[in-house]
Amino acid sequence: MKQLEIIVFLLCSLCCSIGYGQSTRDSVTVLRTVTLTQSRLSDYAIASYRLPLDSTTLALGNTGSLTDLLRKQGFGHIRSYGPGGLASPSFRGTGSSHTSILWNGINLISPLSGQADLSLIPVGLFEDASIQTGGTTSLSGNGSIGGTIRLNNNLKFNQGFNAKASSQFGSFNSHYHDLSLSVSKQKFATSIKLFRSNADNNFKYKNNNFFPAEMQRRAHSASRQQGFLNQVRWQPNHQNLLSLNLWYQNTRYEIPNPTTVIRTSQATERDAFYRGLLGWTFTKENFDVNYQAAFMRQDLNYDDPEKEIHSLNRYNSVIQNLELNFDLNNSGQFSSGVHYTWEEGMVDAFGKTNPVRNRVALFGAYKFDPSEQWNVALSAREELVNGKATPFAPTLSLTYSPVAILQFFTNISRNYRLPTFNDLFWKEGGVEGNPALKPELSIGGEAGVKYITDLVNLQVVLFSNKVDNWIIWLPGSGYSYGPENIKKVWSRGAEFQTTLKETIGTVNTRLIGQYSFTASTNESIYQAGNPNEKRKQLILTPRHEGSLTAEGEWKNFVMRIVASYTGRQYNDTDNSPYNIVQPYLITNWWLSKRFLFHQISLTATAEINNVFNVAYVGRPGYPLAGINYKAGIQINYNKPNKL
Amino acid sequence: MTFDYKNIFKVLVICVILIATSCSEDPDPVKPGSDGFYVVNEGGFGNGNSSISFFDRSTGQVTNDIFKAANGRDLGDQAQSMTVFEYKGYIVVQNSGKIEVINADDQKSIATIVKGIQSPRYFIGVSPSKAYVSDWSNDGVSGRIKIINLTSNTVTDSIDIGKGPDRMIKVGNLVYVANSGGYDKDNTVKVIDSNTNQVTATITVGDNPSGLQVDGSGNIWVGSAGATAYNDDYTIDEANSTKGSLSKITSENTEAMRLTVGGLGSVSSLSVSPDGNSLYYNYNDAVYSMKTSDTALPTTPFKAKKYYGLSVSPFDGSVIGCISPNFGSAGSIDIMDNTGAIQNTYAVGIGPNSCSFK
Repeated sequence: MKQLEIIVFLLCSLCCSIGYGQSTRDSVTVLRTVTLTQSRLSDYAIASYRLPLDSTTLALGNTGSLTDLLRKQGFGHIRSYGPGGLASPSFRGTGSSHTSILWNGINLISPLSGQADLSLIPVGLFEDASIQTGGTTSLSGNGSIGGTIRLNNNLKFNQGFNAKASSQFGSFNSHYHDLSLSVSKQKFATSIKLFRSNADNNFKYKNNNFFPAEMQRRAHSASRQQGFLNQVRWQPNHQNLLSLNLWYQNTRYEIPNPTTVIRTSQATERDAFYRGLLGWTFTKENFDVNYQAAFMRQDLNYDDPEKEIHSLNRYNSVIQNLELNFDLNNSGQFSSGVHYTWEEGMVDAFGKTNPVRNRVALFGAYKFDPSEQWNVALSAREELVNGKATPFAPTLSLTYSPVAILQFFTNISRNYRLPTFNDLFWKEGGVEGNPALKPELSIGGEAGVKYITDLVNLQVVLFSNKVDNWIIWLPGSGYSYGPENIKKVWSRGAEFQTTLKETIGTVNTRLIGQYSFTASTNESIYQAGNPNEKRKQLILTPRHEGSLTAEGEWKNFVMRIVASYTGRQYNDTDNSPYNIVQPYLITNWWLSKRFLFHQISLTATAEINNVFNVAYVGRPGYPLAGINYKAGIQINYNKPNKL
Repeated sequence: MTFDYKNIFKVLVICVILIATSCSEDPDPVKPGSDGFYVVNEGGFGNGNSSISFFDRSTGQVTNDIFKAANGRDLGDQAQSMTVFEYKGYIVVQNSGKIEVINADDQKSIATIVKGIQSPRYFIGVSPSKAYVSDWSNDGVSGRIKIINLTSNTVTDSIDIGKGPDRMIKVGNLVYVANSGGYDKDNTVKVIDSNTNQVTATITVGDNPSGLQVDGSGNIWVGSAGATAYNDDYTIDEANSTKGSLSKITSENTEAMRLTVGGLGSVSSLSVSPDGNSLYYNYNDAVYSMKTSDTALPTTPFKAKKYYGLSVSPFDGSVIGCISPNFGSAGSIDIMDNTGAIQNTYAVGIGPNSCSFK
């Protein structure tokens, strides 16, 4: 039945689009040149609340991980175990596995844990990145319930030779170095980026887990990362573009105990991943075919000599995407295609067999402008997992712009998240996965307004999202533990952002305010559960988060101050007064100065984090550093191609 | 269009400050009465949210989170047990690897015993100046009894004991220790002469014993969990698994009787009535009760309800069942009379596992 539904949908949308296209065939066809081999499915997220990562942020230095970059942007919603530790997104009151992270359209979420660690994503490797909150793109597939983070590599042609090197040093023996080289000709471009980072994170904090309390250094909390990303692009003619991306990275981090555990941990984790992505785009007058094939492997070695635990968790996946995009001249765009994912988990605790999942998804998307003011996008996706249908995921988006500077937008979508391999297959001494788990299902909508002029940018959105069959692990009979599709969550709230620009004398200033209110509540009580959990805010999910950024730019100087506020959080599911994480306001300061000498530009950067030395925790038992400093330098050399 | 955003800026700054300062006041510290019992709430493993509640018999009220209220800090990770000895409370916090010593009148910290402690489970006072703490050790197999000097609150020595030493009882000068297996398997109860700190006897019982009680006739009862063996694919290996059991040890330190339960599953939370004639235990998500004179295990439960922990009041014989639905939010306790009828239910902290009587 499900398959029928999707086939009918695809056929209908195909017919409509062809009919619509023919009626407006008389307009001029422009010869298009493709520059990207990545998916164009983000084109359909027309009615969304987006956080682009702007160029001034990059001027302040693009060293560090995605977590650092988001901090620079004053963007909250990141749950971090501290520098170098696991950091996961939590958008719109959803869980850490409800945001998809797409690298050139390929989902990086681990099929084992359902998560991607933002601290493993060095921003320097990408040419652009964007964040979209909300589930407006069910086209992103599995897990895109709370939002989507996109990371893209799109090396441009004809840029000449470019070399860049940067180094940054900071408190607690943190340093970061990278080198990137690129050659970009008319039809061929290639680049290599290498990086290495280290942080000991041995900052001081007050340990009051015993009597009398003592100032101590955080122990066994260091992390080290290195990796490279290589891009090759070749455009033999106007119709074809081929690309290859190779991304390798390894990380070694010490896993500290929460401070409530007094002994020093000996656990370490070594994480290595190999990602290769081949892309081909063929373009004809009004359509293009986009094919991507990716191979990904991630190894996670967990080692705890004290507990004699040595485990290897590995997954392999092969992803193939075939996408057809039709440009219907002035009348719209239509896309359809297939996503195919093969994934295999190799984990000691799965027993002797390595579970495999075959996932095939069909999708169709259509967007058109019924009038000057209106924009409509329709999309749908249906995925079969080992031949079994998952929830049908459609999206309808509308925008209305009565005048150019004003846009009202709304959308409604249905999304899902597959159970992870750990949820399904884990088997070890009473802790047992549940092979009968269903996908989580969400239905959500949002409505907002954007007001954008040269000086003012204002976006407000209201959202509501219900997630059913939310998977949680519960005690079963005796001492056993297992996951069940039992929780229902309703998250709703508002997000607000504004940017005001003004030039005072020769200083360009910007003031950016962001605020979100998130009520994300548990709506179900399972058998023998605690009735007081009903309608209570989810654990460690602040209702209020906000930031204020002030920025000034003057003669190649850029200065920015970001004050970020995280509201009160509950560390239990019944919101008792006993387990509260108090609110905190953290202020960070950045300064950069750029020098230009012919083809060389040199940028010096400095930053002070936690300027007011506030004592706070990212999660209970995981203190974060007090005031700390970083300084760095970046050299850029460019030699254009000879004309 | 231009904006006078200096004013907007001011408003935003004020808003941020207002939000930042609008956090609530901490609850006032409470002084529970002297007559009642503590509830040990172990919290969620790794979440550092264990706590102590107090049930005041004179008012019939429960006050939660009394350790934090008295000391302005959290108790730690996975509080396993609490013992009141010589007007002091010894809270054994296993995953934190410490013992919090508090004044049993006002709950204020006296000391924290950290050095020499790894993975502690239970505390027993053996003389006014000496106590034993059973400790699984960090590897969960090389268990030891830590000897505590109660004057200096330090570990002075330790005794090799077996795997996963758990509950202890003292009969005369002898301290009996149940070796629960820790992360492995054991089947012994060791006997220590508390004057010399030497192991003087080893008694073999059912696999993985953890509960110990003395009955009215001076017999020692041991509740064992049994051991579940797994095949390579983590399915249960029935042939090599053993069932839970209840053993009776006589004063000659020999196992006189072993009663084995019907299916795989542990005999846990072994408790005894104040008169020493009735035993209570958890098995297969229900509470069972038997007379110490019985020679077979009961087949019908005393209470068909799943309790994570069980305690029996030494004062009035009421049976207290600890309910821990999910280790993420508050649990509760049921206070039952000796027929199993629930008299009262109280909300406590996260993951209540046992009660400690003053």
